[in-house]
Amino acid sequence: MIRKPLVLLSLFLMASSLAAAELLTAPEATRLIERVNKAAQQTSFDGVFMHQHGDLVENFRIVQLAEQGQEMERCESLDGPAREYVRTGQQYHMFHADTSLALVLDRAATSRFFPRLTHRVGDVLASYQLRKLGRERVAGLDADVYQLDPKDALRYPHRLWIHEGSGLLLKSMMLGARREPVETFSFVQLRLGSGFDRKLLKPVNPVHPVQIETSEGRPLQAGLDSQWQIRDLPSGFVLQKQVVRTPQGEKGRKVQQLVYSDGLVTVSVFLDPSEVKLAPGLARQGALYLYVRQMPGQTVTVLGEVPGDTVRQFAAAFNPR
Amino acid sequence: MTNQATTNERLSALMDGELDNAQAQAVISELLQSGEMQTAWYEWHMQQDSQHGHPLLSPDFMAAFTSRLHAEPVVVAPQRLRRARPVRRLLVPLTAAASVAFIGVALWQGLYRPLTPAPAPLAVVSEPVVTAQVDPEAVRAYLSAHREAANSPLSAAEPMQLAFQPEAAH
Amino acid sequence: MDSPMQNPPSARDADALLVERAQSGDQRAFELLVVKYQRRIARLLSRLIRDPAEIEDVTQEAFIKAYRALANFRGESAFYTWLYRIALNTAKNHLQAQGRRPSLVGDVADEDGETLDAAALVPDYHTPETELANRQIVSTVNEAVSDLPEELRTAITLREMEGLSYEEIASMMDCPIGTVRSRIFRAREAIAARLRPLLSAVGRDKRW
Repeated sequence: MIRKPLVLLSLFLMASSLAAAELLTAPEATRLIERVNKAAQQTSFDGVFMHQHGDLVENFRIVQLAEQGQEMERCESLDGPAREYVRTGQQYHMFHADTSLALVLDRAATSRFFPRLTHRVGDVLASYQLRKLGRERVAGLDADVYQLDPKDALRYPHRLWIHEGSGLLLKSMMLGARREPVETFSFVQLRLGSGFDRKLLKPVNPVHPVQIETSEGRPLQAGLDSQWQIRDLPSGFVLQKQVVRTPQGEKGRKVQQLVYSDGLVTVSVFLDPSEVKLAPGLARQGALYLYVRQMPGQTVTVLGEVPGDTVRQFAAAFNPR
Repeated sequence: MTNQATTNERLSALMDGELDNAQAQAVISELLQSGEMQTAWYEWHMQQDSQHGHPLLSPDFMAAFTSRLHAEPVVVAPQRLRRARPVRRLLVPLTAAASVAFIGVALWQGLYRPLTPAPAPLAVVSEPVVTAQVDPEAVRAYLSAHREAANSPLSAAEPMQLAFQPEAAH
Repeated sequence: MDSPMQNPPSARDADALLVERAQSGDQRAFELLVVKYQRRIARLLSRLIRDPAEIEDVTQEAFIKAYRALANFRGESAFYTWLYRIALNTAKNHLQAQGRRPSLVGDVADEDGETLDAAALVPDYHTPETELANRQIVSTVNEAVSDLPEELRTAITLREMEGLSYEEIASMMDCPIGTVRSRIFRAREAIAARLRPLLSAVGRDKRW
């Protein structure tokens, strides 16, 4: 007997959710991203999330207890090689079955592990604007769906599913040029709230403490400034870290890797003091673009999940002095 | 009677304090998930307050409050964490969610497999004049270094298949 | 005579459960409590704050303060009693910050609000459009109630105005409790259906 009003109401709700596909103002967008970041730090949950990147799909178990101002987290791979970390505040302990190397984590990168979104709200909103798309269910929970639309053609859009009640990021997806999913994180099951047993934080693998580094805001090292003129970098990208790498079996060769980020996506620039055997020019695999620029005795190689023009601009920005 | 109607009837009884604890818990869980039930909650309380002569507020009172609330850090009371309550009532049964997710992942894999070594690039490449092949092994080291710098250390550092295709410059 | 400030003893259940969910990190649960109590708190504050324009602001502030303090609420008193105290303190602080002393309009009551005079009217403090829309809501509810079939009208009136339990209503109406429950629900549905066009017309809290 009350079917009709319910149908009418749901039509009304549908119409209003379609009409709501609107841009957020800058303060609204800032508040939303800060809310997601806070929720990721202050919410307790136990869940399993799926990570898809290119042709790889893996599931992870994640537990976080936010208790009296302290965050404790454990994350473990359920597919592929055994990997695990346990975090107390900023201190990480890790296990990685595939790697015997002592791992060093980058502080900026750790602050972006799912379901954290980004550590630099300002950078993100300089390059993207937020639009509300509607509502959807993720892992049985109601989520508001937003899209971070790039303000230029230098990067791809990201879609965010944010839990209405807590503000926790339930799902995020980077879309490629053809709106295909490039990288997706999504909870497939999630319990939020309270009453979690602290035993859930006990590692199942032999974890070891890991060093956390930050190279944010540091000047370029190893005299790069004197060897390279760097100008006209694609807008919105900020140097996040510099790593010196030595290719296996070539002790004398030092490749500089510069990692740039716009807050959401990273681009690597490799400065190699030799001519490499890669074909010059642009190549792609899915949404990942590679640009190789050969110069006499020097090679600039740029790699990132950004449009082809962006990697080309990066490569053009580096010129030997 | 529709299922929604029986659910809403229970919500109405909850407002009147006429449900036992287990029923009330179940209705609250549904209420927190359902926009339709929240609308009923809003309308029924407005009706109640209106009958009691309470002042009605500005039309956007709740919207303004909600946006203020969302700017607040999420409160989690310590006693809620200490108390070893059964948590299963909070959410979806694990088994149900897991089987759904599994199907979802399988379907998803079927839908998007652009990176398997395809003989030709999937995207339309204008003027494929570049003939040089991209050596996957030479790219692998760069890609691993990039992924390591950009990703969670738990993510695998490289895709299973490398199939870079040259692209012509526009 | 209605007793709007009086909670039937069992009404605490929904509050306690929503508080529990809110304390576990679900902000939506707290919003549902605000949906329920917003007008009662505004009414309380209208007895303390003379300037009508400030009442809604202080009401918002009181709920935010309550949310911040929510972790400390241990359920030793009813949620509304606890909220009532926070709202009173918020109003006092607000008036002190303005260099004014709280001046009571009429009797402000014990914390259960029993002595508040339900008939006292709150001054108009909305824009004329909102005021008109609100009057329409009140008269629509009244009309909708009087248009209800006799058995629904009796059930909802005994419940809302007299505060009787389903069991008491069942014995007065000489019918099973399940019938009372269904009649009250159908009455609410019928009234809400009349209310809905008004709410969407003024864009009233679209979110809800």
